[in-house]
Amino acid sequence: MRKKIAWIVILLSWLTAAAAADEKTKAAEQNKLLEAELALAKTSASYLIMDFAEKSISLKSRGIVLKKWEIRKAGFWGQLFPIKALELLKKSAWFPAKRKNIVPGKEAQGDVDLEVLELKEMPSRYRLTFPDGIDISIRPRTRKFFASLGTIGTSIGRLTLLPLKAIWVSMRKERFTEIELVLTNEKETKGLYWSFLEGQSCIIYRPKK
Amino acid sequence: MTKKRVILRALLGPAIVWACLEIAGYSVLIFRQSGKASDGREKVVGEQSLSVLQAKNRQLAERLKSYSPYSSYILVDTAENRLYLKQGTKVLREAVVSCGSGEILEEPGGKRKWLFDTPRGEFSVQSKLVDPTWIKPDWAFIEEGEKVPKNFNDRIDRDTLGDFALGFGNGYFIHGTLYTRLLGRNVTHGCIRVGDADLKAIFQKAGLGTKIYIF
Repeated sequence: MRKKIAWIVILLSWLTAAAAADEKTKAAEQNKLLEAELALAKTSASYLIMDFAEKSISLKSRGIVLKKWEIRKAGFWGQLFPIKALELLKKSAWFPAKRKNIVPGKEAQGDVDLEVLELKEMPSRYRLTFPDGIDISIRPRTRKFFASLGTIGTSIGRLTLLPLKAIWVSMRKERFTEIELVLTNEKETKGLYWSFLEGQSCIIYRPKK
Repeated sequence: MTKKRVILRALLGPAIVWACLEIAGYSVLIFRQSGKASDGREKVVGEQSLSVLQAKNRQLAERLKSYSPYSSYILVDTAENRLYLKQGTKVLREAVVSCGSGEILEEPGGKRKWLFDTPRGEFSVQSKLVDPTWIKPDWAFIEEGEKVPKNFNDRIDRDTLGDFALGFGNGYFIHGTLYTRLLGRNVTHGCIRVGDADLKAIFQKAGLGTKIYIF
């Protein structure tokens, strides 16, 4: 009986210690996140925070949330990365939106078919490249048949190519992180593409536990 | 029979190599994901107690709050063509607007080029004008296929900007419009067009120095 009680006490104290350690890790990560954001909020430039604990992406300026997107699903491969501001190096898509040229003298003001660059012209599937080998591919959640087939194809492609990339990168002693994000719908992914500009800063926070 | 075996071997060889590479690759992925590579987070955890960290976080959150404007401010979502007049997190007014078309205009035979985007970032109201007059820039004539006038008076347009205008720098304004049916679409040369009732409300509420965040 005494042995049993002793074991229960040991187990409980171990669980308490583990919970306290978790709390501490969380607080320390929050600390890093706030410090990194504070450095960005000091400037007039807007920035993004991808918070995988909150499952959200926030476009912010001076600490104010300008716009928020919900992360429906996320997949991670590769290394955990430090909590710091990263500059978006490149946005790439199969069919990027193109700006139209105005033909002088053909002012289309008032026409129904305006050839302007709008949200609907933005790609819904694209890739964001950051320093330190961090790549994020973004796609909308979809139930359409052909879009789902495309998603399956891309996933199979990634799952077969990713291990080869892992070998290649580790041979070169480089860092790499591959993230896949699924947002609510096409409007959301297009909105993020519109709002997130190359050169803009972003903090990616993925909790360790 | 032997032909079949040769084909089978030819297929099996690369398949085994591929499978080995995949297994090795996934092992690398699992090893790397286990967090052996330092990401600099452990140091902070080891150094400070939980209560100290929590107190620091509260302080940092307060400092972050201090950067945001105390009075009302304007948010402009260029993707959705929406303008929000806000105070803290409360929306005081939401308006359907028109933002930059993103089009490019090149001067025929010339070297000048214009990009009609609404500028993004943090701005502030620098001027407030009643019955504003638009001094048409060169691009307004070039776009219409007209000659750029030499006489200043030929550039004056008293009708286009509506009843009020809020200037936020570099010739950009939040102003009224004659083309109300295009509100909600990206059609402007970079300015933000607002409907009459919304413009009046925003003009009355926003003073000089009011912050404008465009994204």
